[in-house]
Amino acid sequence: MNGTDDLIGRLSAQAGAEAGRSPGSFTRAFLFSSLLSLAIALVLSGAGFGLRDTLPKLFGYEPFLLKIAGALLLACGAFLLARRAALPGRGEASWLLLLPGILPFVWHAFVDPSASSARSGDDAVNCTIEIVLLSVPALLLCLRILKSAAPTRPTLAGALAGLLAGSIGTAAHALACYNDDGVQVAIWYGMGLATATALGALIGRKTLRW
Amino acid sequence: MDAREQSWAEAMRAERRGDRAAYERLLKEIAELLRRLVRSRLAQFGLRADEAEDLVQEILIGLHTKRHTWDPDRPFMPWLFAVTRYKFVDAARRMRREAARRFELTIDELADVMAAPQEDPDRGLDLDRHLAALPQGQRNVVRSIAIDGDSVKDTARKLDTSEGAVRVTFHRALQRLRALAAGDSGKGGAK
Repeated sequence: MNGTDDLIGRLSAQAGAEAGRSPGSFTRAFLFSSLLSLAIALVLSGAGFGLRDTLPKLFGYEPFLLKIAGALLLACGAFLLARRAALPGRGEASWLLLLPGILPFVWHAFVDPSASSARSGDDAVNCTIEIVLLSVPALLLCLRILKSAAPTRPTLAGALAGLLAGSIGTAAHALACYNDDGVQVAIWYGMGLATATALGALIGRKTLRW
Repeated sequence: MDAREQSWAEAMRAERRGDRAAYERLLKEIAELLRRLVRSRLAQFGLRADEAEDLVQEILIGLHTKRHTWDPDRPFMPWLFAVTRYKFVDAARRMRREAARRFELTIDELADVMAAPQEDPDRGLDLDRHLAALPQGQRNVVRSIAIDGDSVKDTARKLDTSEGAVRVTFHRALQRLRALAAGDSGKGGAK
């Protein structure tokens, strides 16, 4: 018990040392690192795989917009869930936050099941691989920032970091990807997202403990 | 509950302003609460009292290093509960792993136990401990006569010495053992 009193003495000597940090500052840092991750993924996608040649015209092209919207909305949902998972005592955020990101993919798959797969030059499996590769830097950044907070369920927080990183990778990949078939996108993008999520859970389980 | 919530949340806010005394008071109160909590779960965890205090300290360090994740505009108790609960789960997981290692049984140990004659295990331990305190020569003689049950003559032949020397050594060893036993009971009370 004496040892505990000593410890308390040492800890209380550091009073005020963390006054500059708060959940608010964590959220800002997390947001910043997510945007940075997105920028890195975009650069890698352009440099590594080459952006779609007709990119400027695509901003009125529905299959393309659905992919981008889905990926970015999914990233927003994963961001909010991961943020909550890193702050103790706040309860879990609702999983419905992921719905806006899932809907565009589902809609795309139903409305446009085989639109222009003919012009798809990609081997569809590459979508999964490229999404996972593009999400790696984002995953490392997100895990690092989550570690600075206090995730009370490391596996869950890691999985959400993986989903966020996967969504970022997906958004970047969509700029380079010629695959516009709704069903194929749902399958291969979905597998990329699932892989990134599993990877995040696996790493987070070990590294997010404190 | 509400009074405590208010005073603890206020102390946490005071910590941010660098109020060392308020923070120290808060940590002491929390430590007291944790101590009671951990002790009530001692048996469940299979912890000794000193290990329980380790867990209390671990939780204190955890909430200290992560105190910036508490939002001063929100209640403190749910945050404290979440941090404490996490540290409990984490400690329980670690102890399960350690227990598995600590209790690992090898087939050799099992074979040794089965091969050994049945006797009071505690006596065996005491005997070994006392014998180990004797010089090599005395130990050999005592082992031969008292444990293996050899005669003085056989012992002398086995150790390649005279019967007289064996008797003298045995006598000295007994004296020494008696002194050791006396010292033991003087220090440790009964036994």
